[in-house]
Amino acid sequence: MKLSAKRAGDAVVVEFTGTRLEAAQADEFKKKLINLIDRNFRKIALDISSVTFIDSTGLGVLVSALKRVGGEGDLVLAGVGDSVMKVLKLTRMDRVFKIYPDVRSAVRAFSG
Amino acid sequence: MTIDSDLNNVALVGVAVHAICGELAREEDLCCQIELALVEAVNNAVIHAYEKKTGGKISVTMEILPENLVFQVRDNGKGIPPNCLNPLCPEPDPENRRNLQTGGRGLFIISEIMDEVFYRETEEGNLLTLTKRIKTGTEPG
Repeated sequence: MKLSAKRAGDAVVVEFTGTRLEAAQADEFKKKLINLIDRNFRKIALDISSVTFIDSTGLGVLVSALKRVGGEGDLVLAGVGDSVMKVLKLTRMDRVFKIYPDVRSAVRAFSG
Repeated sequence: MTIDSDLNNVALVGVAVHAICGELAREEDLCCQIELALVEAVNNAVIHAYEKKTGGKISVTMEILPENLVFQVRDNGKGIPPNCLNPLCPEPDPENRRNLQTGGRGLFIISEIMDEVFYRETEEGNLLTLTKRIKTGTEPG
């Protein structure tokens, strides 16, 4: 699991590199994501296009990060694949996260 | 298969179950769901039963019946509290982020995916039995 971050306009694009976002990676992933948020990056487009499997613990990290950015920021999901989308729908989290087909449209949403 | 109670081993169970399911059912979506349910079950054993301590044993068996796949996940750690056995998924309020739950969805996911979920504590350990109705194409022996 690797995270990389780069600025894109008002937002920061965080790319998760890895196919599985699950409990084994959750602690490290959460630590890195929260660290970024605490450095005042609060408009985050999280690129999870490489993820083909997510479990409830991985999902929990996304929720923790969303809560951490607070009301003035946002954490949106970009490049959500079919299998991840099904888990988001199953847990109703598709109603909580803004979901974009790709990074470009996610970044554009922050600019607009 | 039997694994040590280490989160790094959980994907092994998931990938193995997915592969076997793929041979039997040939429905990718169904295999993804079953993989997720098994990963959640084994995660629970590692995280809650063994409190993330390695050295515990978790065994996963799979029985292939003509119209069912039956999985059993067994551990010797702490049992599942009775009040967690009938999980509900709270309707999240997107406008109220503070109240969003960050955990507690594992058993809900299992119960949504599987057709039957049965849990009991025995002298041999905690036993979670998960049944999924699928046409496996196998004949009764």
